[in-house]
Amino acid sequence: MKFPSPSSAEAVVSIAGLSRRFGSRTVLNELSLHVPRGSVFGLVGENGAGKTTLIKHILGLLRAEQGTVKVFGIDPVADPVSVLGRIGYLSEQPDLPGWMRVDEFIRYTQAFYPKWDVAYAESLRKQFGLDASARLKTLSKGQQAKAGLLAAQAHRPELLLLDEPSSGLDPIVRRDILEAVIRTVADEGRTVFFSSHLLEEIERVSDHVAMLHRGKLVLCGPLDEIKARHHRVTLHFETAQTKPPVIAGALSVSGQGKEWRVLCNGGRTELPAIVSALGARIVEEHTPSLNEIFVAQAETIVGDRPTTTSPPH
Amino acid sequence: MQIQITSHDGVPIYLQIFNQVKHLVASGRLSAGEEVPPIRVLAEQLVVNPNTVARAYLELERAGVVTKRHGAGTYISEAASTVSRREKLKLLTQRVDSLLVEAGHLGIDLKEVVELVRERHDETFSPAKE
Amino acid sequence: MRSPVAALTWEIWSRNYRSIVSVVVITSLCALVNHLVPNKSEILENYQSIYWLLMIGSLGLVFSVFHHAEFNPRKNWHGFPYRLFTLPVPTWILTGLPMLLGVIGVGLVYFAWTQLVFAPLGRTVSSWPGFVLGVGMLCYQSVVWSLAGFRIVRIVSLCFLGLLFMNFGMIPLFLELLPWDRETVLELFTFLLIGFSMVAFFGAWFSVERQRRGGGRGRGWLKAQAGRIMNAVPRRTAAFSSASSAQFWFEWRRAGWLLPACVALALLFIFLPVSWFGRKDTDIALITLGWVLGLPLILATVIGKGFAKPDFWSADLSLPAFLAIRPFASGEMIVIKMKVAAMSVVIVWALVITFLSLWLPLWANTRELKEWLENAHVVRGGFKLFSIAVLSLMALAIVTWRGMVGSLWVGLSGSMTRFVGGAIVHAIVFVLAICGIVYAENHFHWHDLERYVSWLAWILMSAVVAKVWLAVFSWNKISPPRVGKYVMLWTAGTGCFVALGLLLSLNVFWIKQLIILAALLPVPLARLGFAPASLSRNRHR
Repeated sequence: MKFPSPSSAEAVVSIAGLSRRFGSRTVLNELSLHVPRGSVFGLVGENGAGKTTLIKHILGLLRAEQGTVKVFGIDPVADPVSVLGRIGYLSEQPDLPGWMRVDEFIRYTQAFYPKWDVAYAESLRKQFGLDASARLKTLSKGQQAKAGLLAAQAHRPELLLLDEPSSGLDPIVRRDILEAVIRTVADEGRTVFFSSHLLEEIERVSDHVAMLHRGKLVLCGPLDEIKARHHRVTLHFETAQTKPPVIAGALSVSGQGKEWRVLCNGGRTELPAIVSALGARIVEEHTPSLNEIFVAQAETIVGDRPTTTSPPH
Repeated sequence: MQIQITSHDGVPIYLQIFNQVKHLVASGRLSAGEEVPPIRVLAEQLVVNPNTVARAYLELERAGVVTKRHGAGTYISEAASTVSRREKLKLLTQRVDSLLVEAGHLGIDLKEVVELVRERHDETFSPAKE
Repeated sequence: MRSPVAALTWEIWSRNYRSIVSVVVITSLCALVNHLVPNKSEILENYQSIYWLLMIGSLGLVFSVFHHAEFNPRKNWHGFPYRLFTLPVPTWILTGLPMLLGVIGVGLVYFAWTQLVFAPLGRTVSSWPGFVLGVGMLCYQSVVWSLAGFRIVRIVSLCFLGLLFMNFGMIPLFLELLPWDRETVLELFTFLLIGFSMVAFFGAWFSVERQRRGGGRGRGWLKAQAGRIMNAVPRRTAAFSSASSAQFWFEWRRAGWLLPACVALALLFIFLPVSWFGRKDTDIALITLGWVLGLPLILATVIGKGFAKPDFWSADLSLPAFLAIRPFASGEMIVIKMKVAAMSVVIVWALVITFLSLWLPLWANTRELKEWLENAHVVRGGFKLFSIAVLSLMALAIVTWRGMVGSLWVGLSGSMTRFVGGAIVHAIVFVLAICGIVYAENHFHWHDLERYVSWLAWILMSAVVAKVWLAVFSWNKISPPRVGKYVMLWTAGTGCFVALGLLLSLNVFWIKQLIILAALLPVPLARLGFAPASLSRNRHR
């Protein structure tokens, strides 16, 4: 089995200079992004950062006001049929027609995708425990998500687009969704693009990460690189500090008294000199988790909040 | 093969797999010649990206823990058992290092640490010996 | 807020204080005007009706204040506020308090009107309707709460109750006509109404208590039965042969069946009994025939407004993501909608023809109709008459279809302004047309006929030019094969209208041109052309 290296592969989704405004609010701002083929691309960001808007642009449900969006090299607005036929999509609220029965829903969806795998769909239905004659509106939220997942997956799409698929769902359904992601990417050449708040999920399954903040891309690249660039060090001062130490290049500084935690992006080689100039020493060093990087990035950009000091415990 | 992945500390997942496989070999829970699960199966089992598993296997292969047989899967290498003694020591070395660092922070010198190790050893194992 | 009762009362007040204040303001303003104006008899004569209207309006507001129902998304009904069930208050207080307040409120307002507004004018109003209104309030609340799960039954029973109480209110007027003693009758009705209020109170208590304990099963039971029937009906179990057939099924299941179902129900429950009971009367036969033929057209225009939306049953005009992400061209979606509309039109007219072919020969009084037909036969001959009949039917079907698809281009655009604007424009055009017809009828002079004809010709001519121009403008964005198909369709439809017009027209010099011009208009061209662009704007916002 071969797993194509994402950096060398061509882009499935390429977005260049995309901007979008709703009224006076800028939701996406000069966004450029490439999703390599065969990758699991995780999109993170706070609520309202523009994740759903970005995904809607990829689906062609929103027209690019400025910039270009190409999916498989095709503009999804100009030619929705050939783009959508190769995409499987599942959103946080799978907007399913509640009046349909599960089997009708499967057959209806099947009709649109020539590559639909009937046996696979049936095995998924059984695995998910979906009653064929039940109406979709009578299903629980988790089961509806599973039905949506089935419809998004059974034609083995080249690109699986998941918009916060697991928010508000129980761990079992979340695991089903993640397994679908893995199965999709394990089939050669398939790509997954998914947004989530659950950074642990992203950290587990994705190999590329992009972070949106207020419509701007603040981080984008292979997860390993991002993690390798960030360091979390604990500084120890001989005397208690009343103010957080000022360290160039630090994303966040938190702590109190003698011990301070610093998260920085790059600049590992210069750090010891800076630290010793401040009269402190490094007592601990870790690779931060994605969650820590996310929080630190978000806080740095917000800036106007006094987030650099944590309240006394 | 039982592997636990945690996302709380920042240890990269491939490294977690790498370490744990080595650990399993060192402790004898994986023996030489045994087949490890295919990348895809392990990825689905652990719910992690297959590329990550592939990378862990690659590192394991480089370290001589596993060997790939062409078209027939991945096996724990025969050399792994001879490696394992060294590996065991290496695993312990990491623990000892962190123990020493911790002791340094607390201002306890080496003599006292060694004394403590002996004391703990006697207390933990002496009833079993009798 | 020391007691729950005070808290609940405060809640009713704070939710409705605008209505309550407006009632107080209206009433006191009227009372003030009465006190300030010197010649009261003149007011009574000229403006009494305004006072009555204001009084009815303020009583209506009082009813809306004590309506005391909320939408419950879990049960999908509008009933007694569900959130109050978690309060540590017994149910009889929950229901009794708004009922008591309602009775007091309606009584106070009625009393204020009679004593402060009408009494100074020198008009005495009996207090009996006030009593009836109080009981009416109790029954209203009780019905609103206890029939929450049965929307249609509730509307019907509220209408029925309204009529009943109106009659109760007017009892003092009938008293002179009745042979019995005045006091006895009033006493009897008082007891009856007290009985009503007891039933209302206990009924509301019982049913709200049941809802509070997770009951109100009636609807659930009915739904279960309906579900059982639905389950028994054989369903499609074969796979769809193509995306188009799947989409056709989708649209049909969503809204396509509605027009035939409505027509079938109307035929079965309105026209069948009416035609049976009026089977002796020849006028009724003619009127029924007219309505039967007109019914599909009217229903199609009404249902067509909903059919034009992306989803008939949803108030949201944007294309649901479920449909938008299907790999299916927007133009194809329009074609499917048109096909579904055509299918329902065909079924509708088949139903109408079936009804007519049963009713006319079997139990209709067709004497007048036969005479008329014989005359026509003499004038035009059998073949011509037959062609006229066939062509009229086709024309009716085309107009029905037009009613279904005519609004697609606004309905699918996703813009509420356009959708509502379109409906308003239609309504205005309709009203203007009626006004124009009435005006023309009143000011018609035979000697001006030629002038009228030339006006009409000019209007029609400009309409045709506008239509063609718009069509060219809208069609140039659409692929040639589809344009070809639609043009053929339009030609066939228009040809049918032209032929019908020519067959019907009398042989007078100017009428033929007019008819040809007019026949070019009814089959839509531009609006069909605009529809795909409109949908794709909705789909890719």
